Amino acid sequence: MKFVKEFVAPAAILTGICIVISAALVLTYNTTEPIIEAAKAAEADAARIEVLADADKFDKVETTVEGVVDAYKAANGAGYVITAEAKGYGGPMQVMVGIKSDGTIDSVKLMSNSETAGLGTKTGEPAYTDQYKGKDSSLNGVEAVSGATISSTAFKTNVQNAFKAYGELAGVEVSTGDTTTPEQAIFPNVENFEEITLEGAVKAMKAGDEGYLIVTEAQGYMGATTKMQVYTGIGLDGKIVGVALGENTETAGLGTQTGEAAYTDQYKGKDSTDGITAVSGATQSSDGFKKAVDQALQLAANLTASAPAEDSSAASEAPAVSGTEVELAGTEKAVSYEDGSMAITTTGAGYMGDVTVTVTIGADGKITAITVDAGNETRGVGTKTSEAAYTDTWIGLGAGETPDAVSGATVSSNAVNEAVQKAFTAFNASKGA
Amino acid sequence: MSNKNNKLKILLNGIIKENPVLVLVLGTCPTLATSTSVLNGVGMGIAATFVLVCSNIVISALKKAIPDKVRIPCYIVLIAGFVTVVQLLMEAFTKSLYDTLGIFIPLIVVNCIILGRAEMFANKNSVVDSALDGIGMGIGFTLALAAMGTIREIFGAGTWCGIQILPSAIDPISIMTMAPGGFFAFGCIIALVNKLTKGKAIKKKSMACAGCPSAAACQSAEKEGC
Repeated sequence: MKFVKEFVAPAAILTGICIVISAALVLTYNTTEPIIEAAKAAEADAARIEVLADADKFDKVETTVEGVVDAYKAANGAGYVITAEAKGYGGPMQVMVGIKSDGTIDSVKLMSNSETAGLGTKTGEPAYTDQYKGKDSSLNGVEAVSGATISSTAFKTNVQNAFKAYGELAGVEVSTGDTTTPEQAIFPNVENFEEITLEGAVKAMKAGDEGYLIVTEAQGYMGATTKMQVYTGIGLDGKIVGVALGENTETAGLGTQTGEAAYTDQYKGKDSTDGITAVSGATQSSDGFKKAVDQALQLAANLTASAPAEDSSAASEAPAVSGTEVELAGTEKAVSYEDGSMAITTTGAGYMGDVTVTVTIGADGKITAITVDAGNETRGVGTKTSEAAYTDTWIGLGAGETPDAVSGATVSSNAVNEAVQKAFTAFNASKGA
Repeated sequence: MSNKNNKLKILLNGIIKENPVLVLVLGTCPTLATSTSVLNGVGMGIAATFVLVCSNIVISALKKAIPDKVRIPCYIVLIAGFVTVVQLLMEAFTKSLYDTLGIFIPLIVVNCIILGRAEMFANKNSVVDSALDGIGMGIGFTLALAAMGTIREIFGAGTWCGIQILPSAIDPISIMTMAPGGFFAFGCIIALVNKLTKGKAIKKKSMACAGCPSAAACQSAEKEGC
């Protein structure tokens, strides 16, 4: 009896109490759960109505677009509310986007994020978010928060992904317009951009066969926290195809005007930055931009055989007359001119890869012009074969005649020779000689 | 008649004479945390009162059945059960108060007032008496919270129950809504109550060994005295 009282009773009583309490809890939980769930859903709906004012309640829908957290369709057809997540500055950043049934934005809202307080978090403030109201998928004209580029870019990416999801859900075509990179904006017809190493440049790419895209940076406005990045597209002829402003912390609306067409259009077709007018009220930013373009032009001189305008020799100019393209065995490209000359493009096996040579052979069988693309060769060594100092030595030579190789770049020079001789062979064959 | 008087005495006990917060100094944690505004404090007070009354009734009803060995775990399970019920009800029906009080709702489980009264009163008295004691203590707790809340809200935010009292030109002393201000207000009110009851508020003996924290180590415990 004592045993029962000492050990069994306490345990039994405690167990009994636990069971009764558990039953009471289960009862309460089951009763209150639907109410709690409904309240949560209403709260979430209310948050969604904030970004899509005409909606009443929402139904969850599925979407496969990457970067999208969830998507809800308004029951009354007002549109969609999509939440997307992308990596911001301090961590993942979620943005809720309300897209009306006509494909324009009603409102956007910054949700969970770990951005820098007072900087990146400014993307959550009306001054920034109001820009999005009424915009369509191209998001033209949305300006980043000054000093919070990464946060702003992440925000914008989220909105673009939301549009992608909208496109999928509503079954409409969505052109995420502004995702054109600066290089695509400068060289719209080029599909293939190949990254190349270029000392002194932030980044450099070969733009298909149209030229080069060089990214340089220079200090713009004194108050900017980072240097301004400038994209310069330079054609094979050494002339600027286009320029664009990349990442920067210039003053929004002033220094950033250097990124607008009114300013950048000035550079098109030029081979130097002489005569460029600065943006009124943004002298330092304009100077910085100009400096960066100058730098790019300098660096480009190392890539393209034709030197900048100042010291071009007439002999290196391509013939002004137009020619017709012909098929020639053993050549990459061959253009035949009315005066009997031909511009032939061939390749030779170089040190690191192929060396491409375009040689213009006059009707008399002598070289009148030559450009060498030794972009694959060792920087500063083999690439010297593309410089005027070497290419000029080819002018006036005939088939089988070879100038001195570049000291220390025998293989590259031999590659040029190989290419030139191939061109001569093809030239002679076409003339029936 | 003396019975009725007795009952009234028990009820009024918890309001001034043995106010749980200001005299017994129990439950200081939620007091300081939730008294930043009057409405929050009163909300907390009502929730705690509900739990206190329920637990007092049940514990008193089971006082013969619960063996001494396991009485603390049993009390805790009971109290926790009631607190969880309150929590779910608050989440369902008073969402904004639930959001404001946040973590302090589940913390009612370890609110010293509830466990303290279970030990000091409920397990020695009848169900009705325990219920009355629970109500009295609860009202005392709520009033103490309201008093603290009034001082802290008016001086710390310039409002009372959300209504602007101080002209907005005057900057409120925002430290009053923070910990240091809370302690200061707390100390002042305790001093005031002490003065009002002429320092005779609590007699050591009436607390009984069960309510004393050092009961386990104390030699006098066996002799039921201090």
